Amino acid sequence: MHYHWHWDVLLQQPYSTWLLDGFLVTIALSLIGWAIAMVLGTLVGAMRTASSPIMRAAGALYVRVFRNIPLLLQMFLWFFVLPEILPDAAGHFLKRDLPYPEFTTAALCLGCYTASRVAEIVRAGILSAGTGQRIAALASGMSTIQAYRYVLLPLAFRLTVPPLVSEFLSVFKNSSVALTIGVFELTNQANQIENYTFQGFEAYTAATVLYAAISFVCLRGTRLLSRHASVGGMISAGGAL
Amino acid sequence: MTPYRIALLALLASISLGWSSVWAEDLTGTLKKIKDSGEITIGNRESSVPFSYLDEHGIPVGYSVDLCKTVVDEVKKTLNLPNLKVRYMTVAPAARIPLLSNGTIDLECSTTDRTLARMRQVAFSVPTFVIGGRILTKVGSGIADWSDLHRKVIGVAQGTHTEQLVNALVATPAYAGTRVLTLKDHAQGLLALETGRVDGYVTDDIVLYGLRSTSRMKNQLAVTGKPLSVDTYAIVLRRDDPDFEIVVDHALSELYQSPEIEALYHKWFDRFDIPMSAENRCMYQIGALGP
Repeated sequence: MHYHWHWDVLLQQPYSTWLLDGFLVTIALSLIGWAIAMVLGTLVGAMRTASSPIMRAAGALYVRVFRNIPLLLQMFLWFFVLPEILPDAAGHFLKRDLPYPEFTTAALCLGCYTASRVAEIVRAGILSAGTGQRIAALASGMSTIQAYRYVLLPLAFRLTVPPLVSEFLSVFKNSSVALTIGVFELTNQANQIENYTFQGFEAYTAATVLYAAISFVCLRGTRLLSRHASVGGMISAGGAL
Repeated sequence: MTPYRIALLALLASISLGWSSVWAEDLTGTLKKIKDSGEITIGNRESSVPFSYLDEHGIPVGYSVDLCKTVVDEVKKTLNLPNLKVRYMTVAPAARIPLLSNGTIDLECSTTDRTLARMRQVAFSVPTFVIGGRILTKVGSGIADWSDLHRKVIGVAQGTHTEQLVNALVATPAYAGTRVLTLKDHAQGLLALETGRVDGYVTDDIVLYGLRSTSRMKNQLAVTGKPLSVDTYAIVLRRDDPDFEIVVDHALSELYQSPEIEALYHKWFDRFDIPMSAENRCMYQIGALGP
């Protein structure tokens, strides 16, 4: 092996700034994507357990479409294809007037993709809460929305903390796919450093360490959360993460 | 025979023995590896037209590949290995350095820029082609030079010297309001230009000519602007391997002095209808080192 190690590139300008910028973009992209995914995913997950067959079908359609198309392809479709099939004015807006077009598109795409996975988790949570809770809530005079809002969803979330945490960690890793549409997140900055200096091993090692750090911090934080959220008498009570 | 004469003969004998064994025994680095294994491996690209790409039969061809073939001939001569086996390996840009470092490929023949930062990791041959960063734009867009890109959206190819220069240019007050979109590869750059996402796509001029020739709207596209920079492509070798470097430069140097280089240029670049640039002509003259 004739590789010349130069760890100092990681501390040189502009490479150290690139890494830091990439790290921050990865975090911002992932958190925004996760926020979209939680809101949309909860909605779709609830729809999948609704009594109306139309709502159930719409929810199922959403999950099938967004979960079964590779994320890489979705990024490309959102960025290059969507503006072309929309009316000219809307397409022009997406291409020219949208602030930070690559970043915004990537966050939206990541959010919609992750929402399909969150929806399945939420649906599982609602189903495992059992029909008894739903019937009891409705019998005590709650509307369907109130039953979801105050009984079913809170229970569902508390029951599904472990899979939600693992999905949350996946968002950070999936965010790297945004590099295909030109977002300078962590992996892309590492690519860029490789390209300019040919010191790829150092750059990718730095990116790996930063991803691991994100995972570590998230796991620590969510372990506390899951202990707090566990429901007595259910399988996930005290469940290990 | 006087002792003096004996000493002189011994000296001459040792010099001549030493001389004849220079190549045979003191081979180092890549030359030794090639001699020992009886084969040389060339790293080529899949679609860097017309420098290094796979033809319809999947065979690596192109201007850079032809230059590497000249190098292989020189290696055969130097090592006295007429039956040297030549292998090709198609490598992605991201894999070229690890594969060169671990000895999977011995030469990378494509469109790699010579830069100082990269020279800490690899060595380069003498330059093989001169390129300048220019603009591909739609005919009638009114963009004839860099100043016309003010308040427009510029697409740049990621990882090129031109990308850095464009970013620096746009950061100046004269270009306030100009946006830069960085594109992953040239196919995306062309798509962004065709769909009107960017007003101009900027990268190495020779690449722009190639892109234009493959575009479905080639008659509506033009390459404009004065070169923003002058860069050179070169063959990539492992660093700290001076003997092999001499063989490579020797081969290129001889080629640059022969009429063959003119023919080679026509063979690969006539398709774009651009004559040999003054810069390239000058580069061949400079690259043609004296014996």
